Amino acid sequence: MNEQVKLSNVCASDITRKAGLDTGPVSADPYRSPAYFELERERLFKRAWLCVGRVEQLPEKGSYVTKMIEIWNAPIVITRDQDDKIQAFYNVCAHRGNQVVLEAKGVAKKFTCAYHSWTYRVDGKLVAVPDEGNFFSVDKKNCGLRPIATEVWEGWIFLNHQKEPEVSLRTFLGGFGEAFTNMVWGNSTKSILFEARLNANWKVIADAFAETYHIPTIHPATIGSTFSSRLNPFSRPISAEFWGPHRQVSTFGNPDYAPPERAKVERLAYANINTGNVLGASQKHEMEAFLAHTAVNPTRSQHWAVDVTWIFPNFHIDLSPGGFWSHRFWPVSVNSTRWEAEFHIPDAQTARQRLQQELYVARLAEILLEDVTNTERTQLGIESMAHDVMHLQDGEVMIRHSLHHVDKWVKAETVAEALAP
Amino acid sequence: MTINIEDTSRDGTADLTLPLGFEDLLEFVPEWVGEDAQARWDIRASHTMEEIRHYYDAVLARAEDILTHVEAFPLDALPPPSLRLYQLLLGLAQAAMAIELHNQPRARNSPWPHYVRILRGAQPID
Repeated sequence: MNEQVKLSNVCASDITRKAGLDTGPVSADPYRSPAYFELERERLFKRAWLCVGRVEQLPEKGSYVTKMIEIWNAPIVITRDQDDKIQAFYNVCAHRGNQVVLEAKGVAKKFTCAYHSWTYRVDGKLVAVPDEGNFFSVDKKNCGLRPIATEVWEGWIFLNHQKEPEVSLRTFLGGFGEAFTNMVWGNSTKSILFEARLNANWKVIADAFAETYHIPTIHPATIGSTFSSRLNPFSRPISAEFWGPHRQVSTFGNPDYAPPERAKVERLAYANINTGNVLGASQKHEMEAFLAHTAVNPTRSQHWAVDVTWIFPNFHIDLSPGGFWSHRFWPVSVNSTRWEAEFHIPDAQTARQRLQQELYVARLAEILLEDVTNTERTQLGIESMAHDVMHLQDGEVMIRHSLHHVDKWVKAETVAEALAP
Repeated sequence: MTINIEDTSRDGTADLTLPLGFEDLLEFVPEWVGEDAQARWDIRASHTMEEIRHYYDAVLARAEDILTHVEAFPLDALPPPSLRLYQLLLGLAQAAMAIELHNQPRARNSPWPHYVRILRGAQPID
């Protein structure tokens, strides 16, 4: 059997050139230069639409969540008001700048600042100023919580730092948004949440989840045999798609994977439960509408494992036979990042299913630990200045595409220019 | 840290019982009973391979019995001894990482302690 021929039938080749990208080494400076990081802050993170989560986090009128957007130096609060409008605000009192909402999440009619009890409605309007008569000329209408541009696409909440964003979210998402319209986001009300603060540039961490070339090396025990096989020992991707600054790689799965004899707990937990592969917790039969969407496993490959979708600049959505998960990479400084990973699964109906989910969480934790602790070693190496450049192979095309578009935004005077083909 | 009132008797000592018929697993209580996924991860990562193997063999041998016992109750309303027993079983998922995947207590090349946190695990049952 000629395995080379078979691999070429399964995996696309020459993805990088077909995407119109160079094939030479790339500069390591964007990962270590404080000056470049400041350009990213001003021209990328303060101009691009950034995803902060899903609408299900705000389930009812008055629901709110608070977050810190480190790259903006801004504490924010996102609310669902009495008209069901979802809106983000600076979580900052108009009086003297204290943070108004201190809880991580909840349901409220009003927010009262813990400093002097200035009180706001969840739609941001200032409604009460204690001892108002002792102020001089406070115009309450102009002293609400300051809104942040907020738009929702397919249940995902995006924010823009620009007071009046240069482009709408729809324009920003472009062809990607169209391709993913009407996606079935199953189990979106429930999630497993991982977080870590890591000493690495945000791109080092985003890159770590953007290629499968590393899987046989970093994850030989946890998922090596899920993502590679004799046919595809280096886990080459099946295909890639690009939409402006956004991108997706469809990754290879080993269709012959079955728990080995020694994996007794895995066999126990997965008995009578078919999740498609070990990266899912929803049962395959529950996922039919999701799997039927044309953006999921776009080439309809029998060897499909996961579609890694990277929404520019710092947001990944991954689609697998068992459902979807997401990563958000929040830059804190040139070499520190807060990373969030959220995996959506159903509530377990039986004790065995809950055990299977525990195994899923345990395996995820190992994989993520292997991935993200590796990023700190990478950052240290990059900062040593040992090398000026990095070498990217064809399967690492999303990293090259990311660097290309980050640089384009950093250099562009306007968002329209950054988004131009 | 929360204290489960039902688990604490008047003299302040914790209730460490398991349901009748599971006395053979008492030696793993409370050491291998983690209150959530993060705690169960920490427990496994802080034991030696021999200790993990001892726990794994003993609890795996009773796993089907534990599932049968627990399935007599609604999953989100387990009596404390049954919840303790079930959390003891959930620890197997962590032990399996060491026994079935890594052949060592923790993932290769990973530091301990580290910053990765499970802020929210699967539900119901932490």
